[in-house]
Amino acid sequence: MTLKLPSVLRYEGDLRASADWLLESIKKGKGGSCAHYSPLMGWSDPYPETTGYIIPTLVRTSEFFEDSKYSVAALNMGQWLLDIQSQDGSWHGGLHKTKELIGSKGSVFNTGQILKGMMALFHLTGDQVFLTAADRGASWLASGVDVNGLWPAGDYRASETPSYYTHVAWPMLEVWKSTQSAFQRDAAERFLDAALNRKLGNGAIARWGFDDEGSAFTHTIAYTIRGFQESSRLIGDYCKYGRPMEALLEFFVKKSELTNGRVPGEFNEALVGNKRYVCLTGNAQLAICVLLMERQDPDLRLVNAAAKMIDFIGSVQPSSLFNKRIRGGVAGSYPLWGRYMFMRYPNWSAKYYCDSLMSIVSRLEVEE
Amino acid sequence: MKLVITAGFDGSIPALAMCELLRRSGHCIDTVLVVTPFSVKRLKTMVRQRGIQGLKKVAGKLLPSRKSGVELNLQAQFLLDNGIPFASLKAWCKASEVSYVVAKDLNSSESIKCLEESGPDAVIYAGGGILKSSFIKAANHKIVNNHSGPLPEVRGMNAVEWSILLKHEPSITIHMIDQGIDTGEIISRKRLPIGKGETIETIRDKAVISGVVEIVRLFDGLTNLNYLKKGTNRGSSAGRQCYILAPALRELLSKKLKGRPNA
Repeated sequence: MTLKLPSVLRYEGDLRASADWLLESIKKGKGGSCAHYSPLMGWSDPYPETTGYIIPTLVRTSEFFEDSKYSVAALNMGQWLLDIQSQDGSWHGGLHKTKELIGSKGSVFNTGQILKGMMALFHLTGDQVFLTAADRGASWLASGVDVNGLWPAGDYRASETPSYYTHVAWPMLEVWKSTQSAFQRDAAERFLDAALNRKLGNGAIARWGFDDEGSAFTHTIAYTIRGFQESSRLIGDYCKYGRPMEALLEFFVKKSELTNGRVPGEFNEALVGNKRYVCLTGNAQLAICVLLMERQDPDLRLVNAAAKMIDFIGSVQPSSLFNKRIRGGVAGSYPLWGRYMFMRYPNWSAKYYCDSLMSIVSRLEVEE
Repeated sequence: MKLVITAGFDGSIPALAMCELLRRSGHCIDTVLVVTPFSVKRLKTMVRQRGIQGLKKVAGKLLPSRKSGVELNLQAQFLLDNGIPFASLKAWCKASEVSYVVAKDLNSSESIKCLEESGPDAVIYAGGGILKSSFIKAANHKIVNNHSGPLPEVRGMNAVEWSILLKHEPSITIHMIDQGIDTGEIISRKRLPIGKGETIETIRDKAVISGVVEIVRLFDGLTNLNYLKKGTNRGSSAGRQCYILAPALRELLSKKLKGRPNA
């Protein structure tokens, strides 16, 4: 038996702690996973959007540790999401507050993220009920794309569909892989093409943030990049959407190296960063994107940059035994009072940290 | 030739060895330009790039290490083997009557003024941080450096380590410094044999010593840099730059070294 690297052991310890923290968020979530924990306000209501994309993380964690408790939790959440799916195939936006659901409209972004959970459970169990739900959701999404490749309705804060909705096109294509629905694929690609047209000379993508103007958190920047990368993988053409992201990712590789993983939390479209805080979930997401790029053209220098981003999260992750509620959680920002998810521990920070840890451990194992 | 030698700190063994060995081969060392290791700017850069743990490690290296009873590293052994009895550049400069200048930064006005006043035929870079165009211009673009990796393939920091990780033949490269990171003209490249059981530290020491020996060899009997630069290759910035290894990559390298066959 080969001895594991000390860093790999550390990564596995962090993964266990964060995955268990996610289980705790599910225990408090009345079916779904609570959006966040706040030291002042406690656990929030469950959040369908992130509950959806936490499912594949838990399925993967289950395989990683060969421990079924994570996949059992994933299945339970999948059942809850099936129960709250709307008649038209969509899922509603925001947190799940049962009293406010009457008349609530479907959310493009949230529906997209839930598709990932449905597809992960379909692949895990082979149960058609998950594929059917995903198919209905993807068709609802496809029917909303207009001739310009945008969703005219259902956006969060921006006046025009933000570019980070590439993270919606990706799961649509994930569904298309199983349904082979040209309607779903065409709609997803129409949006991807429209978003790629927003690419600026410096590699940044216009409208990649929550708002029309100003800086974007690295969270939505990484959403944008990852959406392009995964879509390229699914259509089997890396050059179409994956390659155009490389220059931008090289920028973040350099940022990670020069800051020892402490990447500024937000950037404007001129790629000027706000160094006052780190968006921790964005750090983890960018590390995943860098590792995805590295798969195309293996180079340990990229793994090094990703490791630094991941290590930074680990270095600021709470491990306090005094407050079990934050042990294993990952704050929105470092410091905790940074602009992104001020004073809260979102479930998606823990989710992306888990994903990044599993990605880097897999990569290092190949090298060993 | 009239030379200026830079150093990142007063106890720099490669700078000390080069000063003495080049002096012995008939060159005139006009000035030794030493950067203060503990300036606020330098500390901030170190913390940003290496973190607090990295800073502690660097500080350990900057402090005097040749205590009695402690096993000598390869660099210190090289000084002994060559009969160089000095513990610091300051002591060497005093004994050799060479101007010793301490600057906060090699790119500072005091440092550039010193260089302009000296007007050397060449500057030998033996540490002190990244050089800006003002320094390069003041040195008339005649700055020679020993890079501990094969150029143009392995540019940047931790070059010995990256050579092994990226499966390049460990080598040192003597090159001119320009405004890019290790992108200047290449003068010579020399293979670095690595034996079984070597550690990262011993290989790094070997690369440093090998660089000193190579620079002294290249400068032997040289009257100007033009001859040295004749028929050389251009460097390149095409490849990715290398940076300080993250802990996981350092551990991976150690593991690879342990399993490496004899060179």
